[in-house]
Amino acid sequence: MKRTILALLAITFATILIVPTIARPPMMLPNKNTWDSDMVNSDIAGYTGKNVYVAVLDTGLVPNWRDYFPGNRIATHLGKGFWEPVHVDPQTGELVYAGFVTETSWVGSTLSTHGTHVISTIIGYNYYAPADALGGFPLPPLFVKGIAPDVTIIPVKVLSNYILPGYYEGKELVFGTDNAVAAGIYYATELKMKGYSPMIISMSLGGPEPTEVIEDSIDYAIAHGVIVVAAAGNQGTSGMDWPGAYPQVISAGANGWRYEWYWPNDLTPPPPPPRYRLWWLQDNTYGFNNIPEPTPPEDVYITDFSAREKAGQQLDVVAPGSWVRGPFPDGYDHLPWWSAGMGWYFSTPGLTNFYYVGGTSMATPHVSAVAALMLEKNPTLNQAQVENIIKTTALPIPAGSMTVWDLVPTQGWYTYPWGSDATGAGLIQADAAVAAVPP
Amino acid sequence: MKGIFKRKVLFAVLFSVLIFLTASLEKIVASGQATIPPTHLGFVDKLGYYRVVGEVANVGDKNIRYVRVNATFYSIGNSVIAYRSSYAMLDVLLPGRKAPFEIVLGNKTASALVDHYSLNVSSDEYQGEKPSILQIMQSSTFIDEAGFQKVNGTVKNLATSNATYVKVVATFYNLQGKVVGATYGYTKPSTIMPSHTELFELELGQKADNFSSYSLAAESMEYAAVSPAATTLTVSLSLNTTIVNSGANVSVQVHVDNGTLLVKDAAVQLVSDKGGVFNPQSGYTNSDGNFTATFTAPTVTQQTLISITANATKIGFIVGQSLRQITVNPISTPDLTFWTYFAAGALAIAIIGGGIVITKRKRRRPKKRSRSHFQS
Repeated sequence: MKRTILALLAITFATILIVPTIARPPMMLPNKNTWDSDMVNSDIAGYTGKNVYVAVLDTGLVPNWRDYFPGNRIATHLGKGFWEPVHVDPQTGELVYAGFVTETSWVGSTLSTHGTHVISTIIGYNYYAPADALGGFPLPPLFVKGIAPDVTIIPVKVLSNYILPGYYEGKELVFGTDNAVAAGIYYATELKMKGYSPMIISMSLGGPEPTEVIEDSIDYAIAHGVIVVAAAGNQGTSGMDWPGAYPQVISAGANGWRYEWYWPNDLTPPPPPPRYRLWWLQDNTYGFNNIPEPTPPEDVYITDFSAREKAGQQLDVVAPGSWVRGPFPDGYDHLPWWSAGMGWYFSTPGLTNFYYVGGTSMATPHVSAVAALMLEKNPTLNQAQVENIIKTTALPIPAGSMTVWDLVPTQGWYTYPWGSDATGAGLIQADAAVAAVPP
Repeated sequence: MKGIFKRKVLFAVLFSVLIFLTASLEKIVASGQATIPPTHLGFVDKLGYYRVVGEVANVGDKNIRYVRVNATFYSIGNSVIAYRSSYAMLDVLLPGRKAPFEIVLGNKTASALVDHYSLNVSSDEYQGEKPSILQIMQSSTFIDEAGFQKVNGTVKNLATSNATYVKVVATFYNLQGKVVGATYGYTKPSTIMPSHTELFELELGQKADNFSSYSLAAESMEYAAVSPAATTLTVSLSLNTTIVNSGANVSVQVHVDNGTLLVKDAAVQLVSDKGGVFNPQSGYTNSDGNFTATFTAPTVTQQTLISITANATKIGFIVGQSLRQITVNPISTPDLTFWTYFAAGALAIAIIGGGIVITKRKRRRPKKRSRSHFQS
């Protein structure tokens, strides 16, 4: 039965300000870790993912991706896109799937920002937002370190833009079909068999039910030594999405941090915004946004949207998936203000290039990247071994609740409760996982 | 490796053969006001799928919709392999308009068996209004970083109310006028407010690697594109000679059509890359689609190749262009040539005459005095 796989994109926020045109910053920038890399301890793991390939099955990359990423980290010659034609039958109003996929570019146009953000978590990105300075926190241009900054990314575009008048209120949708996703999985597996190894497939996507065509492709990939990671889903207590729910897939739920949007004096009572806008960077300026080692489990909460494990599903681990900063240029409308691309002609240079994004889509690349660190140490690890090590070295997160200051849903103090069905084996820990990998 | 190489060669040959066969054996059945012009093409694409791309035309005098093209694929023995159908990419087709369609036999095994195909088309009459009021302002093609052909541009809503779900359709043609690819997409955002202009970007993908021209059409739920629907102007530029002397006049003739019909009142501008004067340099095509001018070649000192370009524009059309080259010879006036020969002749006579005088003097004077002669 046909169905669509929806990209998982739960919450997005942007700071929208207009600033004068400023020259593009230099590309050699000081490196900086973030709260999420600090929390999963990739900053002290001792590996960078060198010689490991990660096929990111997503929306491809925005045309100006070089504004964000080091050019040598993207295997453009291996990039590929897959698309299945879908239309609404004008007489019945039903979706009609073509039943085959056709190749497309891996370079997206509009709404291709999801994949760009996902990739930024893995390999890092150039960052500079004058809004920080305007907000009273001057911050020079910097390179935000990824969890595995030296992996080679293969952009595989399986999620495309669809406008289907008469369907889903005619809204502009970004999704992929079963056939397109399976084609991407087979393609990455073929690359692995051609010598692009070790290979990880990272899928920040999912749908509401299992499908044979995708499970077959996953089994094929795993049988050929590919590591497969997928999002758990954003449906909270409704259960997990597929393919993340398959036991053979390493799935990622989303956690947050007690001190997100924290301001030293706002434990009680909460002051109004603005908050400390640089909270997301690992920094000791204010004495709190540098997560101690080992990561305190009491500082970790599970988001309410992160999928809970149901019968017949398997949630493996959680990883940072709330308020993850990254490039999100939203196509030509929001090119980076330093870009020399077409954006200059169509929009005022703005600061909407970097978004905080929440979702298990954001947790997934953390897990894929940690797997890459492990494979750098031992490229012969198979799916079962990687999954086992990641789970046994995870930081257990007991069921509980936490009250944190959050912009959503209340712009204030908000309590997140969760049970043991939301944590899997716990929070992924890169340093421990790598240490547990046999040489 | 050798085996792989052979398979690749075989595939390429098979590809060409299939195009030839299907182009010659197709059968068309039209229904009602919709018809299929002979611009369609069948071929096996790079993924191994048999693909038919073409156009449907509304040859009646009423709007039609649900223009459905049905394809039957046959083997070499005329056995039916499969049936497939698809709708024209424009939902509503106004009288005189065309829209592309694409039918893909999404089965590689069956695709390899296809020898020829037949097409038929059906449609319903559309009673509603569809004013022609969307205008494709400009478009351009480019190849993205992954090597895929894309078209972008802008659409303007000339109506006084919103145009929703503004779809842009592109048809790509080869040199022979066959359709080699078609695609569609929506403007971003897909709703265009009155007097607003929005962007679109279309990806042709693998469907056509080599096209020589393309046409664009647009429609929204409420409106159609300005008529004729954003066709690229075809410009024919001709000169009455290809070689001219400096300063001489050349007759310039420009003809503009839309690929089928002549286009009058198209604005034409002539440009030379190395000087010279056009009279007039710009103007409009007449009722025959023609614009004439005179080009006075520049004065050059050495033989010069000049490129003359004719640009044609008209609201509702995509800019068309044509280029011709003309060789301009350097300055060579008859008077100058005469005086040159005269001077050269005079000099020769003087030298010869002088030589004779000298010789005679040498004969008359003693050898020892000759030196003093030369010194004086």
